[in-house]
Amino acid sequence: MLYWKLAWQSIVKNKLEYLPFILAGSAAVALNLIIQLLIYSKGVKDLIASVSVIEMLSFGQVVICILSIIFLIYTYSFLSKRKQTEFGLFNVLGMQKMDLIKISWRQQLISFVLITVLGIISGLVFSKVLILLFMKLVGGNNFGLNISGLPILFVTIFFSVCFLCLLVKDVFSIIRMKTISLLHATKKGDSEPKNHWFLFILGIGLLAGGYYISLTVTSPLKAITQFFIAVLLVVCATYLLFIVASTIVLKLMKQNKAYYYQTNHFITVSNMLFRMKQNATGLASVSLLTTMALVVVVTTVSMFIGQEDYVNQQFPRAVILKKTNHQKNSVQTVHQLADKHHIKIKNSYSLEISSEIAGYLTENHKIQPLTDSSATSADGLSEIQFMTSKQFAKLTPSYQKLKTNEVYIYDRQGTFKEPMITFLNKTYHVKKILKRINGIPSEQPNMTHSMVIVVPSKNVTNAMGDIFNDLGDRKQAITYQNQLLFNVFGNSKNRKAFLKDLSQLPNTTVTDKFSTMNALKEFYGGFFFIGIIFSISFVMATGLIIYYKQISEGRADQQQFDILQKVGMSNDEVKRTVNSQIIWIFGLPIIIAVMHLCFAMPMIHKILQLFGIIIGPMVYITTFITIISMIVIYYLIYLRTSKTYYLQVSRKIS
Amino acid sequence: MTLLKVEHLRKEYRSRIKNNTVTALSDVNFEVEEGEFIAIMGESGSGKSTLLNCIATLDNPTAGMISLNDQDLTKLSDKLLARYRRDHLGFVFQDFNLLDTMSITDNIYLPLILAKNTIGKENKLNHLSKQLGIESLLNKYPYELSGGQKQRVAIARALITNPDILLADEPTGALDSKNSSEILSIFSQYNEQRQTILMVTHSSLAASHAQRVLFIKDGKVFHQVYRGNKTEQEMLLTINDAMTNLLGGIA
Repeated sequence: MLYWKLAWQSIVKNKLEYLPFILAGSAAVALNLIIQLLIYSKGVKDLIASVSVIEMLSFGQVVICILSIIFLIYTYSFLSKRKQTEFGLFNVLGMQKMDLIKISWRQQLISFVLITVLGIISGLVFSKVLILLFMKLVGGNNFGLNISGLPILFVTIFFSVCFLCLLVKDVFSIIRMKTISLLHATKKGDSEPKNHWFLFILGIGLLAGGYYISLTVTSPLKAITQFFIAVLLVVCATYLLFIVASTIVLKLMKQNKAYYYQTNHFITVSNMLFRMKQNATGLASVSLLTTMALVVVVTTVSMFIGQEDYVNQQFPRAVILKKTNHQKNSVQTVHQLADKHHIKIKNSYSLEISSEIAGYLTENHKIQPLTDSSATSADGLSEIQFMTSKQFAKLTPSYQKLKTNEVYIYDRQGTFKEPMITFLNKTYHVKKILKRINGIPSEQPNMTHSMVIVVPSKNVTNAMGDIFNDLGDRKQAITYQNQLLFNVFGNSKNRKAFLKDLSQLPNTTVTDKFSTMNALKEFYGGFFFIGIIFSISFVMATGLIIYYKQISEGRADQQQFDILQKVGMSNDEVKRTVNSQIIWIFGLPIIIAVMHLCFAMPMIHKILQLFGIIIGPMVYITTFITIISMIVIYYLIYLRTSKTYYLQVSRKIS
Repeated sequence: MTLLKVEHLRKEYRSRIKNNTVTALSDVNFEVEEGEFIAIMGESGSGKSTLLNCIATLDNPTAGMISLNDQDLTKLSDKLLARYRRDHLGFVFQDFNLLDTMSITDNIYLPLILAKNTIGKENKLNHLSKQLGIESLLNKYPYELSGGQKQRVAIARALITNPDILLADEPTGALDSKNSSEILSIFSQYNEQRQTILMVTHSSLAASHAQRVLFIKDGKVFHQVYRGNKTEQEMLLTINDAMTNLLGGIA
């Protein structure tokens, strides 16, 4: 009983450290539980793309699990320092190490029970809200959430393992503990940090390099590979600059005597100089985590919002009916089916276009058939469709006739700029590079470069088809398909039945906007949801990291502020100094993160283009809202932190 | 002229459990004339540090009055108290209380900067550092200094505002005997230049440098000894006698 009492008392006494630990732990439990509940929920199982959505949620689960472990261990290290002193005292008073271990496991058990119970309760409550949000995002309509024991069991086991690790850590530190060192805990002065101009210039250079890559990247495919280089450069630069630049800037401030010897700046600058030395890496990590949260939000929001546009561009009309043989589409059959299902068909048109052949574009504007060896050089890879000028004339009334050696080229990505193009051995003059062709989808479902070449007649492609067949490892005949595109109107039940019947017509493939949209919505909606969960946990984690850092520093700074108050600093001035110091610690990471995000935007933009997604104003609005809410969350943690810190350092006059 | 007046000063500490008050000072009365060097002596727990804290306005008295230059300090707000501390008082502590994050120069400037009184600070610093022999230390940091050096710096910091009264709380408590006597003779020197000094100590050797010694016991001024024309040695004997007779004996 004594051990329980001591264990509980220690928790209560160190509530300044324990409370955030328990809250953060509960939040981690709740997040894990929510994702688990979603994975097992009926609503998600009923989705069309349920497999990939569950896969994505599971991936999110793994990441959140890892984050939870790191986070628990990190926050616990602050607690553990406090506990060490306490245990040292118990040790001096005559407790054996075995007794300390007995106290320790009781403490772990208490905090584990508190955290899991709180976490599971709040998780269950919030999961109701979150499944609503989730289903709204993915466009599902089953909001059922069957609460089974399995997720709760998983979360409980997972966190009991985490706490077991913490206990092991505790036991080790108790075993290694030397009482005498605790009694002689001397504080050694830290020497003033030095200026490292070389590292500063290196940091600036790396940062400029990273930003430069992002600003100048041209092709989306290159963006992916260069993205990692840029990220690496910026990460290194962030660490370097936080460590070095902060010192240099503060020292410059210090050298400016008129600025330095002012009441407000004097203490802040001299304190920050030492503080930054201890905190630079931590703050750099916080900045990077914040940047990550922002990038995740931007990409997932863009994808979620951009998907509709993307699908619309793939589908000039709601339904595309492709005949795989040369037969004309029987418009009549379609109309008959439509009548049967009470569906109205409008704005229909048909066109004839070749199937896609994969080739690649060499540097001297030549199209080579794709072979195994050339397949590796993804740079010039292109998917090409052909269309006769006769067909083109139907789609585009203001049409200028092509001569036999002339072609029109419509390049969806807009990278083709040559005046000539060669198919194997014959060169054609590019009469015009078209921005678009009416009635032709302006997006393809996959990410490769693609173009449509308008040729004078089928003769050109017939000849080429033979050669491609002979040379290419992937034998692809160029065949022309008839496509029928039309919009449908009617209620969704009828529409579904109609589309089902339509797809059963012989020799046809049917694609429609609705099912594509739904599948994408489920996928990107899930993605968006995971993005939100990630960002919330990132922001929470970083906020708490700063909180803990400040609290532990507050204890160290207690003496310093005590001196300042004895020498004649009023409580108001202490408050002001504390605030201005902490606001820097909180503000700097956000400023840096926003700056990183701004410079990353061109690159994110390019990469999203690969997915057919254009960053629109909605994305900027959401990003802005995200930044604002991040600042609000940080600000709340800041208020709490500065209050606690102030209480720690200010003298209590009785 | 009377500089500091302490009348019927009472200080009680209320512990967290109700109905349990500890009286640190019950009824303290004394006056300090301008230019005096006074030592306050007493056993640990006698209330001497509480007395100093009350005078230093770091602690609020329960009852009674403390006035400096006829200004009642017990009635000032927190903001005014801070101003009063930095304008009229100088502090020297047992554990020096220098800020490790600042250079020696900045540590000494600190009260001036807090008071926004930075005009001519270089001259004041030069003057003091020459007197105290710390010129060569000005660009160093506190953690690079020995105890005696730190205390000199602390004295410089205390004196740079030309305080009405210098308060010293066991200034030699953390020093060896050589450094102790050096610090005490510095006090005597400044006292000769009409600096008023109020020092709390339990070392009779330290107290023997003062002109007057107040003995505190059970929260009251129990006795006082004037130095008059005595040498330090004679003063030391007088103090020790007073200690054994009055404090150690049955009161």
